[in-house]
Amino acid sequence: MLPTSNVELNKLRSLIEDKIQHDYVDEIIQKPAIDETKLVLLYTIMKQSNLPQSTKERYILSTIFVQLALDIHEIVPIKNDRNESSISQKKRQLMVLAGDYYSGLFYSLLSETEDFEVIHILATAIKEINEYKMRFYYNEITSVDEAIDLLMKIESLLISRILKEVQVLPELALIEHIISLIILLREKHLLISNDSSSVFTNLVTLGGSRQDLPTKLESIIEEKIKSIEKYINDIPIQYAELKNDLKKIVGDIIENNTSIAKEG
Amino acid sequence: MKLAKTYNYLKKDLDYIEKAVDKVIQADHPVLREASTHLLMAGGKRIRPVFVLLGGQFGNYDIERMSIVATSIELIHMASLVHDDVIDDAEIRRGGPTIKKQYDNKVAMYTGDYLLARSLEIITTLKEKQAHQTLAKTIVEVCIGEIEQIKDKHVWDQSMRTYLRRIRRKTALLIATSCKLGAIAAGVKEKDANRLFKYGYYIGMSYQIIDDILDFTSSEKELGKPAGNDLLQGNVTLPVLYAMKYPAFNSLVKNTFTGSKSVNEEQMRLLIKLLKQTDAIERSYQVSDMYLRKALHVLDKLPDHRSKQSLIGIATYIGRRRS
Repeated sequence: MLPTSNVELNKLRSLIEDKIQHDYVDEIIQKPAIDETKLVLLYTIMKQSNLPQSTKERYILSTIFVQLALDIHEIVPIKNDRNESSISQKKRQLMVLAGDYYSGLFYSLLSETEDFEVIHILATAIKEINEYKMRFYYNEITSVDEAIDLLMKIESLLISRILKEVQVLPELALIEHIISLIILLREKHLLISNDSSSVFTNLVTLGGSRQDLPTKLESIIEEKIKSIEKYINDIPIQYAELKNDLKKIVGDIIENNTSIAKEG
Repeated sequence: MKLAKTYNYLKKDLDYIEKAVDKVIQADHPVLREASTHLLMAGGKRIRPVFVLLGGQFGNYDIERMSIVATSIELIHMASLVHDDVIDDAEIRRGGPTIKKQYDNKVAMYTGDYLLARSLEIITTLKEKQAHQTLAKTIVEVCIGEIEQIKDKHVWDQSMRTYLRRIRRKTALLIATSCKLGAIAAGVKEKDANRLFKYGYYIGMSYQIIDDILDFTSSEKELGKPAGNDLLQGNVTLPVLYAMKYPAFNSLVKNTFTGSKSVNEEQMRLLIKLLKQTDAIERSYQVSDMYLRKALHVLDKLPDHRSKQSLIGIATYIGRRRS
């Protein structure tokens, strides 16, 4: 079972919720969902560090604030509807501002404790993520592998950079593989359910065959799971607890996806 | 007198900062680079970098350190402009198309986030805790101010306090922070750095009030947007608050903006005409002047320096601003 019911994790969740709370924003727009997998991954790995509890907590909160900022900006509509209703207009406006507000919270939290290095690390990650997002948005991809790699960077850069700073996990590529797996499973689900899928819609546009994609995806997923298992097995014995937790997290990701697929 | 004349001895340093900003926004992705550069090239008063440099003149002025602060603050300002254009659905800025118009909201969001990230990357080369705490608090407050502005739209019976708190967050804090951060980076003693913050705050308040007045008194050509545009958007500014005390204006505003019907040019012309017949403009200028006097008073306590003369000059210029 994932440590989602853990007391410390719940505390983190309520700290985040508390900090991002704003009466008017919450009234008009739906509060963005915290990326549970990223939160659990951060918590699970950060737990192994010898840093003071308050520092670990601060790093997790800051990273999640940045993630929330990026996530909510991602859902701002690409174009404004000419006949936009007053409420849709307010929603768009508040999505922009809420994202900026969350970015301010991350800087504010880390400034209080003079964590300038971590501010710098996260800022660099945001910069790079936006560069990658532009490449993705402009369809600058030529293959499935490249698309997955680009999405993996967009999704994993924040947590892999902060964890690199904390220096607990011996192999950061593992985080990237886990994030890739989530992306792949999500895309597979979208593809099977005939929903629009960002990566694969792009690839089909580029001339790939949609029919071959589920098979291709399945084989990439299998390879990915094998790589992740190998990475986890290679984690040194002194990280036994971490090994177990990561196995549970990955098992849960796969199981969750299987049940979604069955329901679908 | 032109505003730039009051600090013409800073021209070389301002050019240096302009180049520094340009260098920092050279993103890898061509569209990101082009969008950011386009925004920079569109110009602007660069008033925030000016305040950084003037604040720094009271201490150990080092252009490299000044440049870090000035570049960072200008980038924050640029990021907020790009995102503001998405918020306001604005198509023109400084005579050219906005990023959201030229590309779309997505590119504007990425560009704004990129610029903010670049700003934070740069400012963290400074290690003064107080500088970061001040700047971080300001970023958060500016966002809250903008959220409040949306919330307070079309709220005709809001208090003056609500208006002042909103413009404090929206405009005054970043100017105050520019003055203070320049001072901190130059090692100015805390008392004087705080005085510079107050000066910037009062100047920012006055500047915004005059901006709000000009929305009614300037022509469309001078403003680059229709006169009364703030009111049309439902923003309750100081002249409106004063004019609302007059029953004729009060009922006309409420009738005009009731329901979902769009407001036409003729209705706006009538509202502006009626507002000008009240003492709202005059009273708003009085509040602006009060802030300017406060700004000048704070300067009395600062050591004599040519930058002090520039700060006085800026205050005088703002007080006389009529377009």
